[in-house]
Amino acid sequence: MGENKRNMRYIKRMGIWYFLLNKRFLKKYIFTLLLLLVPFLVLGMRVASKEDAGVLKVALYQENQGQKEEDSDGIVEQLLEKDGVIQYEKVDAQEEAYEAVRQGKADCAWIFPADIAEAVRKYMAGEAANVMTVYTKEDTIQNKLAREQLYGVLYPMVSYETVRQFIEKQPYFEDMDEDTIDLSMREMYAGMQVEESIFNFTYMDGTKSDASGGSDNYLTSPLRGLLAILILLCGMAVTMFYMQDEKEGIFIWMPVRHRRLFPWLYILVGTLDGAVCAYVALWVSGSFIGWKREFMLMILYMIAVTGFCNLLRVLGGNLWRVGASIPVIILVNLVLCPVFINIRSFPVIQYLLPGYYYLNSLHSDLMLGRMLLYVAVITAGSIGLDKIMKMELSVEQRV
Amino acid sequence: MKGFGIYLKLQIKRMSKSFPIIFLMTLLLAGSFGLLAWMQMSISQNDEGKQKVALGIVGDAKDSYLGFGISALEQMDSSRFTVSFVMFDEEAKAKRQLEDGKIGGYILIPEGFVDSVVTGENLPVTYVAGGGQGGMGSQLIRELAESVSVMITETQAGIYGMQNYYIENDVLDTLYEDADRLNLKYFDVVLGREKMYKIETFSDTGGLSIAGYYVCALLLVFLLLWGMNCAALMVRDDLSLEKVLKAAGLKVGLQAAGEFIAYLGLMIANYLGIIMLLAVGMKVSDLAFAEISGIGDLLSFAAGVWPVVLCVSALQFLIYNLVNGLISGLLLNFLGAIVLGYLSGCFYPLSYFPQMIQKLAAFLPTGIAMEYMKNVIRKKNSGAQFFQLLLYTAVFVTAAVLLKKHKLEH
Repeated sequence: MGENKRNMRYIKRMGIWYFLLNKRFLKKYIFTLLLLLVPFLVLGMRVASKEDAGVLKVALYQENQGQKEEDSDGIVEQLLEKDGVIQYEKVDAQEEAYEAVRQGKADCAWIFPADIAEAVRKYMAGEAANVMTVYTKEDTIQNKLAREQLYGVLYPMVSYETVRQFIEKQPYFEDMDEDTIDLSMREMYAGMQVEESIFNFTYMDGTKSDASGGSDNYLTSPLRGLLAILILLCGMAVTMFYMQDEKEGIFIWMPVRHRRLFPWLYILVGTLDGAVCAYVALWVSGSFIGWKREFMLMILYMIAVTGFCNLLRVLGGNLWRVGASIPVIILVNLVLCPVFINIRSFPVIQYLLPGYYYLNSLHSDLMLGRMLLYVAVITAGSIGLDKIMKMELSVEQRV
Repeated sequence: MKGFGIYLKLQIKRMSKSFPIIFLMTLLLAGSFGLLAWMQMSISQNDEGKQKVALGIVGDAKDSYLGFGISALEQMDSSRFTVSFVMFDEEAKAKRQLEDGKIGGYILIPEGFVDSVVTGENLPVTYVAGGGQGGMGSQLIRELAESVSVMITETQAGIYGMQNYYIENDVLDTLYEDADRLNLKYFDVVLGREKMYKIETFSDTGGLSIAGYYVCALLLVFLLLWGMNCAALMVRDDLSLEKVLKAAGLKVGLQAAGEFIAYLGLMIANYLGIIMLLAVGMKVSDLAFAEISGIGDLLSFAAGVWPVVLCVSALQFLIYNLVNGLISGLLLNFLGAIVLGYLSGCFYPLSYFPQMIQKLAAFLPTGIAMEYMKNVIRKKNSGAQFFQLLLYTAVFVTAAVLLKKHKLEH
């Protein structure tokens, strides 16, 4: 019973400390406002990501627009309905399509013939050199990749023509009427078509990847990384705050036995504020992969950042050095952690960064294990190194 | 005015004392940006042999169709510059390589896949992505996979349709031989698909290269983030000196002007230092990048973007006068740099964003700065953006003065 009471008192004391420290940080209204702005910014980006946007813009023009050509219409409509990284826009005149490319409003223009089925037939029969025209400034890899999507839309027509012309050319069917072959073949072909994709998309841990682009939308995908950087920045800023308080002697009354762990706890409280805002922001942004995993990762990341910042404090030594290192550390994190792109370079530096583990652990249990190890090492390392340096300092002072 | 002159001198002296350490941090920051620029250039290389994404394929390599398909993919123009394929005989090995980041993803082809396609069963093929969150790359892969899926299933429909037609017309002797021929015909059609398009290109003498775009973007983000170096110097908790000076007759506006001029001087000194080092580097290594073919172009560009340096300094000056504490100053500077940079096309080209963001960027000081720099680097007319930047500078400095006045009076 006595031990229970002691534990309760201890928890109560921790709670009071947590409250008082938080009050210290949050009474800076700008700090609080910035943290509260995060989820709203994320919501704004989420809304923006639902608008029409694309990595590549393609202008579509269909010749003889006044005449209704079912096949061409179908092709153009299929492309316009696609909701991916390539954005399609139909224009009313060929010159408009060309002008859009020349002015940089479109990366390329695809000019469809009036009767695309006939154009495909002629091309497959060797009667025409091409099916359609592509107009572009420079035939980049992105343009080539976009044409793979175009080919996917044209291919049912191409595939059917391939088999129909193949059959027509066979000697056993040379007496048969072309229309009869066509009618019969079309029915058989349609009977063999399947709608479903043969591909499944998953992550390493077996969870399905969101094909509709929710959590994987390219506009919102850097948000998780940026929020991770924000938490790191909160941690670093609070570290400086601690150094300032320590210099001013705010905690001089604290018993020595508590001072070992206190800096780490101080930084943890400030980092927690950033982590809470980021957690809410991830939920609002639709990037949540599941609340349990997100919660666990966020806790681990928060502790990792606390250890990293504490180590920085111990190694930096003074407020100025720590403050001056902030832009460089933030930039190195932006480049070497998978915030915008996943670069596998300078692994020695990557392994030192808490963000590297956090951002790669979403769907990887192996990375999660490595993150646990990192958390343990950096926490123990920073506290241990602090103790050693303080002991050395007190020995120097005595001498 | 004498008081202003003395105050300005003191501020310049204060900034000068901090110059060595700030320049050291500037060098580290510039080095990090140089690294970022080098990585960005490597990734955007179109030439064969440069940065390729490695994709694993887990399946029976002895399968002739699979092997043929992979070598075909490796020869296709649309993939051979960007993707290289690595064969694995076990999924565990591919998973390990993926976890270590040696491959970007892997395709798991189930045993008997080709037979299943032949028999119409269509066992699913699984693409396994890495442990992080997907982004543009993942979406692109999915869209391409959809096209590949259509090619496979429609080809299947053609082959089966042909077989059924033969059976219905009682042509059985040559059924399998002709099915093989049709298969080969399909391979021919798919591999030669680029011939379907008549590709017309035009030469553009006024456009900005991708490298040129990123030079402007990186410079802008560098200038925005550089402000964090000076947070400890510029954010003031204790304004007693300023109050005393105000009481002694040195107006708030003059105090702010003195601080801003000194800060601007510090920024220009650091900026010029980096440009000089870059010029020396270019001279020694004969380096040329983007639209900057030599030192002359570099110095011309560096000098031409002075309104951007001025505007960014003014923005940072406003931020330092807005906040009361160092932490708030750092946070606001960082968030401002990242958010404004993101919305102005510094991380993704602006054309990737929806129209409403593109329209918003045209009003943001950083969006205007990007447009201005893009015009300067292409040696085009930038008059409109020039005046807009000066206007924003005036607004920021005026706002900073008013904030300072408010702080001193309350």
